[in-house]
Amino acid sequence: MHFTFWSVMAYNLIDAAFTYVGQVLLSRGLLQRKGNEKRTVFLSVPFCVLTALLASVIYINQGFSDIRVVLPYNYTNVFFWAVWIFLVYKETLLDAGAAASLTAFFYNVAISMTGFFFQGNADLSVWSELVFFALSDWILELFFAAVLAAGIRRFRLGEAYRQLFYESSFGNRWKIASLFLIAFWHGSVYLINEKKILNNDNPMAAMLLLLLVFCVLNYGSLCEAQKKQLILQESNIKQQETYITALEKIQKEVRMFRHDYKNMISGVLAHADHGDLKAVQEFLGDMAEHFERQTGEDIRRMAQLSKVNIPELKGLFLLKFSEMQRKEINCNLEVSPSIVNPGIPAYDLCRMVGILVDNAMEAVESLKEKKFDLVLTSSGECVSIVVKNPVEDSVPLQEIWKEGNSTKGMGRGLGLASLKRTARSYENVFVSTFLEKGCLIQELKIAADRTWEGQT
Amino acid sequence: MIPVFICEDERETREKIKSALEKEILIQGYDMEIICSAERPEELLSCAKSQESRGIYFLDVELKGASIDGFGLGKEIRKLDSRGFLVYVTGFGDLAFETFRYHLEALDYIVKGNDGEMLKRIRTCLAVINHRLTEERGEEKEYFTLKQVDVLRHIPLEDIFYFETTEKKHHILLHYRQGRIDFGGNLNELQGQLGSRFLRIHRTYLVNTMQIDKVDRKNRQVVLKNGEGCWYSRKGKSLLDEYFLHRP
Repeated sequence: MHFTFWSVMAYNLIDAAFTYVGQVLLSRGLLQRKGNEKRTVFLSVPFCVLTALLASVIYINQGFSDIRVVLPYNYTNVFFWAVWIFLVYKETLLDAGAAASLTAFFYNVAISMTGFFFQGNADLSVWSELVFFALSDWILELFFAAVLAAGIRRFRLGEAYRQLFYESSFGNRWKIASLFLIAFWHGSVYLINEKKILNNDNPMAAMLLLLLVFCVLNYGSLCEAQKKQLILQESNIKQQETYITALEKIQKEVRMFRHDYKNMISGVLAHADHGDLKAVQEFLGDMAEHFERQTGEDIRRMAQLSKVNIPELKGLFLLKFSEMQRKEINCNLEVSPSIVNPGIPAYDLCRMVGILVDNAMEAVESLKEKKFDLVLTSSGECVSIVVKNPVEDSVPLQEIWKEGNSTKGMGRGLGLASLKRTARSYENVFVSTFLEKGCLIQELKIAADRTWEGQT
Repeated sequence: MIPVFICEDERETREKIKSALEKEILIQGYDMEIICSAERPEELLSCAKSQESRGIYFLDVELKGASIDGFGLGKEIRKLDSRGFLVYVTGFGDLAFETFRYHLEALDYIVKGNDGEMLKRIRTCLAVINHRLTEERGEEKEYFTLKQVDVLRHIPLEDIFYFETTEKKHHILLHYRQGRIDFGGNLNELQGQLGSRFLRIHRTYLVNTMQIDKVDRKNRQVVLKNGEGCWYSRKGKSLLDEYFLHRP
């Protein structure tokens, strides 16, 4: 058969549709969420037409045998996909570029895997061979893409990706480095194939590169995990230390009180002897208040803390309390009734709550009365974590959510943006911030199930 | 006239609170009246059911022998009177007041024990409520009520800038003068509920027309009074044109 532009175009359109589905699967695995579903459907048309058109033009002009064409062609496709991620996931362009680059890389690996099943180049001018090649090519491609997407999920590469690209301090470097992945890929395939473009790929090279990327991501996440483990252990030790210190302090207070109360009682007796009832009342009132202020507060806090039945969160609070003690910040903790894990991973819960508490500490540090409220409450429907701190002057409410923005100047304020990023993976998490009677209230609500849906 | 309710299981304390309230209402000439001084929560609830106006409730937290405690009672009252004033009176200073405030928007939390102190606080409460009521009377605000998973919030309509859909399904972000609230909902339903004062200028934005500062045609944005911009779609543009054409 003879290849016209339109027959090539038709072939490429179907090919693009398979690629689209494969890349959607991979991006979802990598970004750990679905994004905008309507857009996912609608954008398939322009994507398929554009990529098919580009591929057809290059094919007709026999450009696929030249690395100088192949490379820009692949980057154009990455660019298309970056725009897709930008539109579907509302990521920034650099983030979208990095994710697109990785997606394209994984998809290229999937394509290469099919190379194990084909020997030699198919003779595309024979109809039967063309159909057989096309069908097996597409289906195998999609199959491997789905396997890879499942692998990404299974080995939590998305988690590693998020930690390395968003949470680590070298995030931007990783993102930029990932943009070179495609060039690296084609360059190495080109070199391995002895500077000839055969099938545009080489399954062995694909395997090796996949292994490399997997190792890098895994190593990165392993480092992060170790860091986390270390922090957890440290916080466990701190938790126990703080607990012991608090108990010792309470014991000391009680001992001192016991020592004092004999003197106090004799004072009361003296008043009583004189028949001065008012003085006795005052005296007893003062004594009760004194005890309440000195010891009652500590006893109360420990009692509240014992109602937090999430060890990681309890550890976080103890850590924060010792930090607050150092900074002379007073935190009123209320837990009622006792809180159990609402069903999101403890590390993400701690991350989000930690940000809220840090924000409050930062806000009250400069105030005269360094005090804020931390309220944990649960109803059948949801668990609410509310942090409430007084604010002196007006807070630029629309600004505090933007990345890198804070009322406190540079280098701060990554908090709420990072909180938003963590929260968006969970459909049942609601994050609100608002002012009420001179206080800034930050609120994290975690719905137990999907009962909140459709309520207005 | 604003109805005042008391629920306290100890007769002595109940009488003390009641007489203190009566005296204060008389002296200050408040437009309030104690219509119910109950021992059991059921009594108070049946009494509150027959009332239509916003009330003031003085409630004990620990109600011995009753089927519900003060917290449960507060929840029931909120169902009947969502904007009434709740004041808790308790024997324990270490109960969680912020939790009460959060769930029930309780006004104050008074600790029993020192009578003089307690009655003084009760008087202050009445003064605060009276002040708030006189302040609000002039301006008859309209409120938008939303359910934020398990709590109801009342937001003055005039404070709302816009509603926005987020990338998470069934989530709506409300931007208002005091901040932003993330709640479960549907923009189409909200649009129907709020009527013509809100314009759907874009698939993802529902904007309060009272808050529109200007229309930035160059950037295809509506600029709101807080300086935030919302994009409008082509359909939104014709809605805006129509709105400004017919605006008085």
